[in-house]
Amino acid sequence: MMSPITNSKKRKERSSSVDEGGNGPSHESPSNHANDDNGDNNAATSITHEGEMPQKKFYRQRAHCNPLSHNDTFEYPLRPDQMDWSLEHYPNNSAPTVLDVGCGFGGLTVALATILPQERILGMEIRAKVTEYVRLRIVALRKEHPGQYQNASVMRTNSMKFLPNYFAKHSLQKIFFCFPDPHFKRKNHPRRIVSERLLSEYAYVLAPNAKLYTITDVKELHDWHVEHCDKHPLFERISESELADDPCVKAMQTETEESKKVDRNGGNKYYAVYRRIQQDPETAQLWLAGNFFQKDDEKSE
Amino acid sequence: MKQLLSCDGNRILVGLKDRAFLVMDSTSASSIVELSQFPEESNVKQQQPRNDQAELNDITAVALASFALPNSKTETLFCAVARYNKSFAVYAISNDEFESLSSSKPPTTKAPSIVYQAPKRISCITYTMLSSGPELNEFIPVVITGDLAGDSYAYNVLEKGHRLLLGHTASMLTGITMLKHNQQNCIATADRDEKIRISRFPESCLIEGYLLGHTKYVTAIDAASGIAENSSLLVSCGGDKTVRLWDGVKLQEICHVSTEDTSDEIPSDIAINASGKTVAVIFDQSKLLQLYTVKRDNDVVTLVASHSVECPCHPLVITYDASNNRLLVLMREPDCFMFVKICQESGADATFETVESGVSITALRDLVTKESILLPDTILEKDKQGNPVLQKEIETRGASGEEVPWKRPERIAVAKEKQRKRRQNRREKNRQTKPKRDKEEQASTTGYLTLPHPFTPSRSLIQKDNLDYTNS
Repeated sequence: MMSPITNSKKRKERSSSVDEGGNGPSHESPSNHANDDNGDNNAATSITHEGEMPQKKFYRQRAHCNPLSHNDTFEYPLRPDQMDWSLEHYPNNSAPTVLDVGCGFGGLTVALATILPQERILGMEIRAKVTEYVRLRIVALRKEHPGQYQNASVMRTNSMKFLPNYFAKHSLQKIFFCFPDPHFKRKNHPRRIVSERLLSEYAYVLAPNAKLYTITDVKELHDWHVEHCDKHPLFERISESELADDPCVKAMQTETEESKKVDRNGGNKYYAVYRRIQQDPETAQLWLAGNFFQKDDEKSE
Repeated sequence: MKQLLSCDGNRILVGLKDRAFLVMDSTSASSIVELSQFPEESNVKQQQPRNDQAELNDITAVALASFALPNSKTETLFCAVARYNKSFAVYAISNDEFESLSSSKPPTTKAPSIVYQAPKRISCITYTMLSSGPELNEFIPVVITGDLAGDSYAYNVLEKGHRLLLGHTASMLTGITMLKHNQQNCIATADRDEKIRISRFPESCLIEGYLLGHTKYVTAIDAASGIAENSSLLVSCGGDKTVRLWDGVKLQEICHVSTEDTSDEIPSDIAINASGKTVAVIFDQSKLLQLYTVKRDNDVVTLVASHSVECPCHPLVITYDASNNRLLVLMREPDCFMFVKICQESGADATFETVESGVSITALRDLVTKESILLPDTILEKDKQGNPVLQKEIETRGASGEEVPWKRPERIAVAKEKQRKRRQNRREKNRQTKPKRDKEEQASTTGYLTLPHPFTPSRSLIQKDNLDYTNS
């Protein structure tokens, strides 16, 4: 899907050709040996050298895209056990435990790497340029603070379609949905990242008692998130008092680039945190069959 | 994916182009009932299908099952027919009606009891039981459908009502079947993204697992119905030209076999017998019906190609008839039907023989010829180039390889030049106009300009009007 060429209305500069897609470019990723000087190969051909903090103005890309498009090809493993996480992401071949879906320019991903040093954080982003920015950012941070940020990484993929290919059942501890695209039009509601159908997939990859975090500055989208998560039998809302000593909530509200933009513009942020319930194997009846069917005059989405 | 054939004992429901026929008893000379499209007293305008519009009424899926309703001793036969125009009709034939229809002279028709309008075209249907009633100890039948948006709905057959069960995002469902996993009733749904999802029923928001292994779209799945309590088998075939056998308990692949040794075509439909020992596969646009045996040999399980049957015409759909231990094949005209009986001798390989069909099948064949019903060429929908629609296009959008935007260092020079020019223009503008003092002050204290949020009006605007509106 070619994005339109934008004119420079904003203060910050956009590059002259905006594009997305790009079929699996062979780029280097934050691997263990990012500190070596094999960045010499890149010096002549890249804008940012490996180990240098990238400048946002060369990595901007249009924010809205269609995640349901089946014409954008991604590389993905056949099964979770066939995914080798040590090749590109983490030093020892262990799967990530915290997911930042739609990580944007990586503010939350790198912040969580210091807040949760025991967990491995993975940022997922669908746009190619922005993913490259986050990758370079992590490489630069790893170089600057040796020993730290080894547990943060980024991947370019479509999380709405390929989550079961990457993650085994009950393998994640936290999932973050920070300022997702609201898709205001009713016909675009199926593209929203938190929906009835996708919540079942998130419940599959999240371990019992794991948490799902959402934050947005659009009230209507927040109401949608709350309505759908409440309706889903496998999630229950965590109250404010229990969230008081969770550092991730604070991080979610202040560390992402989008939250900083909301602060500058003086908007409100609404968040909700849900727990994936522990199923009792005895009582498998999560629904009552009595009101199983909706009457046909009710509109279902 | 077209599911045009379904059977329950000796009763067969078949969808031929845009007409659905129910054969009450395939062994004897009984009547054929045509299931009509519209209910008798309905307000739906009966459009006479013109030649170019005839496609809209084509049948995409049929399913047949008989259940004993609560508070009833006899079994009622339920038929479901889904068409291209997204209409989905359910027909209920009670036992008494059954008697009268069996003995009446052809042609007889039956009107649907409920007609639904589905949101998207339905590609596969199956029946199952749902516990209901105040103590959840009664069972009512429900129809589960898979459509081309990747969603699966459950429809009520007794009165109007439906529910969204699950959805595969941005995919199409190509097969749906019921499976047992640890004594739980589960739904298996196969889609275009090579995944087979096993979800519990009726709590379909709970995913038990994914069967991942196919490297291309899955074309058909089938579950073995008569297996022992602690095991369950699922078999699938796909666009990667393999047949895979899955363990329904561990949710893993047991073995797979490539079908390229026997045929170059894509396997389009599959059936497994009740005991899970024999698998039958038919191929797209090929007359071959290939049978595989599941060989167990000290815990190593393999699929071995055993017999090939050359069908007189192109087979389209295949289904397994558990009560008679035979395979039913729907083929293109003029023969249309073929029955293959599986004879299993203990210890030896199963042998297969085609059996003669009953008088009613012959009558159906004559009807097909007389009314010139043309069956489709192929079950897999094809686009103009002849490739299956299910295949995903591999397209490279935007730059790739060495031309990605972050590997072009000339952009640095371009960016610097633009910035220099912009600064120059700004300086010239500032020299010409009066310097705006308040903006400079603001910039120096906060570091950047604070712009008002476009959507939140400032408080002063809201509270401005304190006018008294009572006296107009």
